[in-house]
Amino acid sequence: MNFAVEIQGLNVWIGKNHILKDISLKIPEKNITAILGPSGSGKTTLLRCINRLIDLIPYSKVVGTLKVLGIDIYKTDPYEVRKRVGMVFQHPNPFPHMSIYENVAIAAKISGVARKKHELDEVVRWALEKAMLWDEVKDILYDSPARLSGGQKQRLCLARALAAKPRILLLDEPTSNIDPHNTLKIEEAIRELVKELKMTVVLVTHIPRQAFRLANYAIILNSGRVLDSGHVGKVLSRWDLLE
Amino acid sequence: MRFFNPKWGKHDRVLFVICFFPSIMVLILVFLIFVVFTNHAFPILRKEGISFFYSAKWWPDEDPSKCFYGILSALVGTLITSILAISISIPVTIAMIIAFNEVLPKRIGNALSTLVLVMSGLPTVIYGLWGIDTVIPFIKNVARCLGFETTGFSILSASIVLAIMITPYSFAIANEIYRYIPNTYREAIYSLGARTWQATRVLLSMARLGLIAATLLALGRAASETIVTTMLIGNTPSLTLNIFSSGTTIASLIATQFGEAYLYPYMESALYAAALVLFILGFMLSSIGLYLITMWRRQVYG
Amino acid sequence: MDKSRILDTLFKILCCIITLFGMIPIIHMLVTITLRGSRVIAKVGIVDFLTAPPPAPGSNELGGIGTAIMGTIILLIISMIIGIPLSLILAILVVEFKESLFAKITRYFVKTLIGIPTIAVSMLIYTLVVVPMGGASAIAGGIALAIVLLPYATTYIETCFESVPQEYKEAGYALGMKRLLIILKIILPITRRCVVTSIVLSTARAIGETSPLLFTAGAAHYTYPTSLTDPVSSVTLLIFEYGLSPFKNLVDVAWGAALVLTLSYFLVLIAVRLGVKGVVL
Repeated sequence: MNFAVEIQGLNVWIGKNHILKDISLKIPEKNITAILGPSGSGKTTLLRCINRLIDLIPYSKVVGTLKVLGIDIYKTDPYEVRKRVGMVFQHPNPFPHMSIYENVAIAAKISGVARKKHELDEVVRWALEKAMLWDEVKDILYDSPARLSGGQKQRLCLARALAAKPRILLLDEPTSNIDPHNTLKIEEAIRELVKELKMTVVLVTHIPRQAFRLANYAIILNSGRVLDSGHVGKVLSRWDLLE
Repeated sequence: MRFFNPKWGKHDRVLFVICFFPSIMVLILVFLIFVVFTNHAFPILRKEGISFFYSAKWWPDEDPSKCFYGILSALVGTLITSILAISISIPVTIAMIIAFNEVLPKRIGNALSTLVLVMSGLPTVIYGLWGIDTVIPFIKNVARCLGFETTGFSILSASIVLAIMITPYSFAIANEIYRYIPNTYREAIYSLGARTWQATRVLLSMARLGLIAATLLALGRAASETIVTTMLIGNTPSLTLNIFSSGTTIASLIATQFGEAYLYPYMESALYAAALVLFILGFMLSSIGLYLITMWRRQVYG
Repeated sequence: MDKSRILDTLFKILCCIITLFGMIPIIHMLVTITLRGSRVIAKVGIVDFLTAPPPAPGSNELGGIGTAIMGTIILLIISMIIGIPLSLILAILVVEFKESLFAKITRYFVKTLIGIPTIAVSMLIYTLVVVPMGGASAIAGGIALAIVLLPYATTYIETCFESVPQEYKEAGYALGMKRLLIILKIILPITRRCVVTSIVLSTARAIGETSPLLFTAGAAHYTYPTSLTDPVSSVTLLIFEYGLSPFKNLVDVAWGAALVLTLSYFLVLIAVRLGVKGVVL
């Protein structure tokens, strides 16, 4: 089996706080891996290491080896890494000054997926369809995202991440601030992505049920260390996380 | 300490280097200020020593052995005018904060507040012009009633107009500080049934550190203000505590004397030294003020 | 019970009275400027007042402030060209490269520059520019104003950039956007209104200053400058000099100029409020 992400001896400090301690793990390709753990265990920090977004946090220090798609990401240009890895954040954050169309299109432009208008139109439609949002926004593409509901905004963010055609998709508790109806829609979208596009998905969640629903593999973090990893059913039952 | 943060990609480094140039210009500027002023101030200090600071004698003379420059009257003038100005201005500022935020209905309070804020940026010459027209004759009459004879151009006139000019500025800072207090505290105190004057006392004491900072900053501004003082104070280098008589401040001394200072040896140097004093005063006040504000912010938000 | 309410009402009234006391001079000032200034301008006619040079001292004529207005505009342009680009880049340095020691030192020095007395700026430029050049000039005045403007513009713009929520920048970075693109396509568009207001406010402040121009610009009230190295007048310098003059006609011109200055100041603020659209976050 190939691994999309291989981490060896990762230690992360933010200021004086030692957030991640000696983390070593492997995330398999073309599957959904869930990262579980109580709040403060370092799940979000771990996720942000994979696309080097941790570098943006002031006073952060990263020690260890991280290989994404076989490449040591600290020996590469961080921007190239980020173009191949997509991310959806906990709080929906579509760019407020761009239209719905532009929000998705800009991702394609940056990663070089599409340049001309008709190419962009195609990618935007494709991304919005995969995010299960197309039917709801196809008539208001050039409006501001401010008029969308929270759940719709989050699906827009998913579409934006997809438009860059990433090989790996990082999801940071994407449904924790979303209503149940939209949560199911987003989960359905994620399932389809892996099935159809053979994407690698890393899903941070604090809901064991969601991990069980979606993921094949799971990693449990506690206080900055890896507690357990393996097939999701086994891991969850080992720690009694399934009622 | 490396120049380039190792986390940056090539793109970041290029951008950083571009930003480097304006930054170097600022550093050079500050360095130049330091060098030029200390260099030019040196001769007079070497000639007169400490007596430069405690002598009130300002005697320009083309003969370098006869001239003497002492800035005591200017120093005293600066201190009196600025302290007098903020003594008037601070109570008014606080009254305004209370009136606009707690007493008056929201729309009126906001509108008046905006008016005052706008006034804080108004060019100071205009205050000076109005002062000459309105305050000078007024002070002249008041003095006459009290038995003094004066032209009206006096320390008092300058202080009054300075106070009027400083109030919008100190209001701008203090109001920001007052509104920075999280709303939950205001809700909490009123929910206890406090009346306006009790609530205000509590909120103002919460803002205490910030208000002190605002006072210091306003003091610094008053001390450095050149135009209003020059137009209203009369500019006579005599040392006096009589606020109805004319006097001088460091800034107005420089403004009136520097133009022709090249004619008199040592005068330019004396004025540079005076400016240095003003510098140090202003720098200390604004540093302490800004530091207090940072400390206060931390206090409020933890 | 009642005593408390009476005390409270007295307190509120006291605050309002003191506030009124504080606002009366300001209102009186604005009214006086309007009345005396408009009387002067009405006598001369608006166009003439804004374009003609000032009158000879002591004469019966009123002339205008054309030279001063031209001088102010020239100084404004010079100080903006020097000051604004520098401020923008400095703000970017301080916000985007926050962690670097260099940025921290720069930020500290910029804050120091705010505290410098404006008369000292004048003295500095006198020594560094006017003396070597042999005389006062528009360029010297412009540089002095730029130095006054710079720390304010930088600090205001820095505040604008800081106000962009981190999540939008993160989203941009996660997409692989390069830092320059983040600045151009995310930070600047979102802070558009704020940045314009900052630039306008700091420029308005620079124009209203008199002391930086005292020994640098030259106060050439009667001539129109023909090149950047000529001395110039400025509206503020004119008011300063003529307001103190013993000649009545010059004092009148000063009042007219004061009205023009005040009106311009208010108009600029209103224009910024109305003209630039903000972004709803």
